[in-house]
Amino acid sequence: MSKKRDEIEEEEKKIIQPSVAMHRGFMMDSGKSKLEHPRRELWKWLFSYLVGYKWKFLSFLILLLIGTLITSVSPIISAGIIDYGIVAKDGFYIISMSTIYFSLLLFMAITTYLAMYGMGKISQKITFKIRNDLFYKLQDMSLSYFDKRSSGDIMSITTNDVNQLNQLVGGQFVSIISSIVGLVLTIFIMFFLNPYLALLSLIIFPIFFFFTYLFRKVAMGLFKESRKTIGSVTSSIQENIAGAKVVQAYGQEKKASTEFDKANLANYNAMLKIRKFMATIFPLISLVTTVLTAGILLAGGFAVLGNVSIFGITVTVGVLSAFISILSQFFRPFMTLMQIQEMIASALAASDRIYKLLEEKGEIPDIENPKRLENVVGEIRFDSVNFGYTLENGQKMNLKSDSPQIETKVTRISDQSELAGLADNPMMKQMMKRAMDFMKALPEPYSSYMVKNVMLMPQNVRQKLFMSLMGQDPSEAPKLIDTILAEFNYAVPDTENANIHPELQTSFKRTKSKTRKEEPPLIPALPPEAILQMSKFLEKNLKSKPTLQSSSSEMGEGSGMMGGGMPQMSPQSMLRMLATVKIEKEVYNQIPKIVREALDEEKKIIQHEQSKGYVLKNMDLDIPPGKTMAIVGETGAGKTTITKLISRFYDVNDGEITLDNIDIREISKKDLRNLIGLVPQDAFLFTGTIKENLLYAFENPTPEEEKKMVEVSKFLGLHNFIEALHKKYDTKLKENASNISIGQRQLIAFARALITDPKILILDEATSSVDPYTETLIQDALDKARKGRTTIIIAHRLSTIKNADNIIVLSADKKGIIEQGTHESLIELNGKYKRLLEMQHRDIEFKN
Amino acid sequence: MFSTQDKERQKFQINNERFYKASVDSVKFNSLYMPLVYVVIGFMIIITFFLGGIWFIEGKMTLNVIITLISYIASLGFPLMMLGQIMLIYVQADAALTRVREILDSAPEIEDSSEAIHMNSAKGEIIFENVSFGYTSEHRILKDVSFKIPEGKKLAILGTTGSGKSTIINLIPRFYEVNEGSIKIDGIDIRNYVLKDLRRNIGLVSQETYLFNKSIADNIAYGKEDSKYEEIVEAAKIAELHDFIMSLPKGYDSIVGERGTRLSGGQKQRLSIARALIVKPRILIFDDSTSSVDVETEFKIQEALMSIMKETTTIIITQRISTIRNADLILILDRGRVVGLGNHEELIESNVLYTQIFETLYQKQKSKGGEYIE
Repeated sequence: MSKKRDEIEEEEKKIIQPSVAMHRGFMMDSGKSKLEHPRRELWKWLFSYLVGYKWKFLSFLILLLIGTLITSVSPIISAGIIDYGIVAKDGFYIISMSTIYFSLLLFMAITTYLAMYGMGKISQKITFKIRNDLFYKLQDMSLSYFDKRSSGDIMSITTNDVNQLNQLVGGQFVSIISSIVGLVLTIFIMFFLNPYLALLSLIIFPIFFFFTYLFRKVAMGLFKESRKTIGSVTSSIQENIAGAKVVQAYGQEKKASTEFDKANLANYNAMLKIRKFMATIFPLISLVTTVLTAGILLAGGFAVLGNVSIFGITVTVGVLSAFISILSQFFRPFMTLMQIQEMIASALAASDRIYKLLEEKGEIPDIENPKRLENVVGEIRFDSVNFGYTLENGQKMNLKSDSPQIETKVTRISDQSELAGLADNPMMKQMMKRAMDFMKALPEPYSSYMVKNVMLMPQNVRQKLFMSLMGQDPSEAPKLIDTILAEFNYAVPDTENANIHPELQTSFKRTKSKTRKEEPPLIPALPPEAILQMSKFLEKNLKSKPTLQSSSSEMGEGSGMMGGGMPQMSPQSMLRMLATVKIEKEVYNQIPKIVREALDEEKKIIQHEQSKGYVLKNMDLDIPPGKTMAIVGETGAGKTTITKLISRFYDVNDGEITLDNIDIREISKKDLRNLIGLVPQDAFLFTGTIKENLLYAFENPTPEEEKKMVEVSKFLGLHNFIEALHKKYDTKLKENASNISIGQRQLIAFARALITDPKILILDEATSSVDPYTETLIQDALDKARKGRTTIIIAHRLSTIKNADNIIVLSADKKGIIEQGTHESLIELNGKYKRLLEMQHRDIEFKN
Repeated sequence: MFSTQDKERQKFQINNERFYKASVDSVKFNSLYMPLVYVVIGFMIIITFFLGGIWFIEGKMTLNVIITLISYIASLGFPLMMLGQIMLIYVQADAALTRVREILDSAPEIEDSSEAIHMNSAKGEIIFENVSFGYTSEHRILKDVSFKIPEGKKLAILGTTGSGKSTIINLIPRFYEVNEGSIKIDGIDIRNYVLKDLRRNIGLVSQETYLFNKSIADNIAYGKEDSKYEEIVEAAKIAELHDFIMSLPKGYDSIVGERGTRLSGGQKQRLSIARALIVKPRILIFDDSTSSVDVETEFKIQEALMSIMKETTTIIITQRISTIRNADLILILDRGRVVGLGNHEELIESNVLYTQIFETLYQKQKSKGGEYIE
């Protein structure tokens, strides 16, 4: 829990220094990175939090303005006191005006205090709300969100970014307002006092602006560098401390030190540069201010001495004195103004990240009217399930985004524009247009038939058609079409072919599910000239640079080459396309070697991407109610995936999973999960008492539920262990539950799941070994628990497996079930299962 | 899973509120400071006006003095405000300094004595003599443990959780100092060896693997920086990791922990085995480190290891029957004490506890499980 403490300390530190914002402003995070959302949207979002406090905020703002006004006006008063009081030797004037001056000051103090306090409070409230919203949202997030991000990232958003906003709305906002208003008022006052001197003073503006510009440009770069270096330092420390045991075990302390030293030195240098810069620029500014002051003194001084009146106004001592005071303070608001840009930029960056998180899709939402479950029997079925993690929920995998792949929706396409609209790559559009034109040029009935059905055809049919028809004369095409279609047992209706062979199908069936795609469709074959032209271009590109550029800005001279107005296409996407397209052997041999190698490489990558995509392919599974199914298979074969799918932490990409014959997508998640008791591999227990952990499912556990807890503990053989502890059920668990053994942790997780009396029990056996005694306990517990429940076990222990009603063996290569049956039947199969068992028996045979 | 989102939200809200209240308090304080400074300065100015004015009228003071004073006072504003901040920063710095000093001032508990001997090529004989040890001063994990492993022999350690198995393993590379008794390698107390040499001769494969965010090759070669590529591959082959590595798009240069290179528990363990092997240590220690590896792979690893392990002293914490049976020496621990020592045949005859344990393990493996099929 020390982490939490440090966080809070850190946060407190940041809060306590809103006025140091001025200094810290220099260090703020403001990369010039682009925002993901338009600024207006972000501001709108930020302001939405302000809505409830509109009036309060305004009133505080007014107070602040009053305070600023008074501060700005005070030089006038003091000028007056000097001129009309002291110089004029009017004692009464001095006293009375001084009193007024002081009381005004007091008044200003009070208003400013109230304003700052009030606005500070509001900003805290806003931060509070934002934090709440963030947390709320995080609770709602789907597993896939957390899978993709490190907890560090998420933590950073909820702490650092929220703090950033906190600073902005709190201290920084106040200083911005008072600076701007103060500055404007001061300028007016200067002119009021003496326009001549004021004009003179304003010469300083361009100089100040210049400094601002210089500062921004240089400092930002330096700060960016220092952020990078400090990041390396931190991670170097972190890695080597976390892995201290390894470092020591291999005697690599020196190496670790050297690594750190390098990072430290780099950071030192970066910081040094910053300091040097600061050390140069601030005195410089000071110098300028002083020179200006001297100039004013010069001009004003002579005016006073000579009693010269300029523009009809004389310069008095008081005025001069006022100017001097003003000037000495002049730069401060300027400094603040300098940082406004950065402050806003970093605040926007922070809000951007927060907003992004808040916008994320939550868990798969329940459908509108989920079906209710009654008398659940617990029969689970998988039907032609396809699933892969890298794919978005319910979507299919795309290759790299700039690959010219057509998303084929299985809809009827009636006109050219729709078809062309499908392709999001201009080149594909071209090709599709050509294809369309071709089809339209066909004689009837081929023309309308083709147009209607081309997208409905199975992928291979279409491909073959395109390949053969490319470059052909449309009038000759029908024969070809007939031949090819006949190959696949299709025919165009109302043609000779169809009449002669009535058995041929004429329409293309729509497939079952909504977005059923077969393999990612390959592009219809390219004409050889195109292929060769592209290869030439790639060759040139590859020879000049070792790797292909992926940005289309590299196109340069290439674009003109593609006769026929092939539009801009980056080398990378061109390569990708060539790798996906079928290339005839003769054409292939003409492609330069260097390009061929690149193509092979690309094909490998595609394969890798594709194979990584799916974890389960076309899987069917039947789990009868009340029975136990054991899942076995090597790492990555999909065992845990199945359990996640059943609990609907992910939705299948294809096919369906049913519970009692109802598609689980039609049931509310809460209902579904209430039925499921999950005991994961590494059970996560909270730092709370054992009791709190066991009763986690219940908000305010009733005495009956507490009794149930004890019952379940006894049932599982956990009770005795708990009773033996000093504080029994009230024993507090440390972080990661390190004060109890792994076996006991598992039992507690088990009990926790069983308390809810789930109809479906999912158990992901932990692989870490426990001592035989605890193992027996867990085993017995499992045997007892699975009676009467549909149980799914990802099994590692032979005993578990042997007693299962059904065993399935998964394979990562085949992405599905390779063997299935009872223990005995699988042994007879003489397959992988038997092999795995034999491994063990070899162990046992040693005994005899 | 338990759909307790609302409960968590409530908890969070409470904590958040507390934080809010604390922040508001500090805002209050801060808002006070700046106006206060202004008031103080304002006060000083009117005093100047007042007294200065009187003295001027009386002719005792000149105007320039007054004006100068006022300028000075006005410019005091900024420094005064900074002073307040400095106070705060000082307090924090003070606390930070305490923490930093704590670390800097702590002396390393285990370091080389001035007469430390170099261990050039260890033979690998390990002796524990009446060793007692506890992580905390009150509680002894190991009590009077004594045993001897001749060089090149294999020791299997058995015992329940918490009996001290992992502790023994932590003591040999001198990660901790024994409280009583001594550990000797090749007849010399390990405290007399140069620490780095000692550890270089010991290859430790722990239960939980820690890998660095570097390439696979760098991780395997971690203990031996000048390893040649062939050595790395050799180690990977023995650990049955080579094929897997070659299936990755970047092969040995794949960065561990980079997205897309998900190493499973088993792969991590195998990597740490390769890492230990490349150093070609004289003493190899396995802390139940094939628990995440499936039986098939473990078998292959063991076979490969057997060829190297001929001259290596090996200590292995395990529950696999075959390993135990083949060990030259078996050590049984119960609650920190040695309750059995000998090889399988000796123990079967003489040690009742061993027979019981062995029988249990055998039964488990045969019919009730306890071994891993995956």
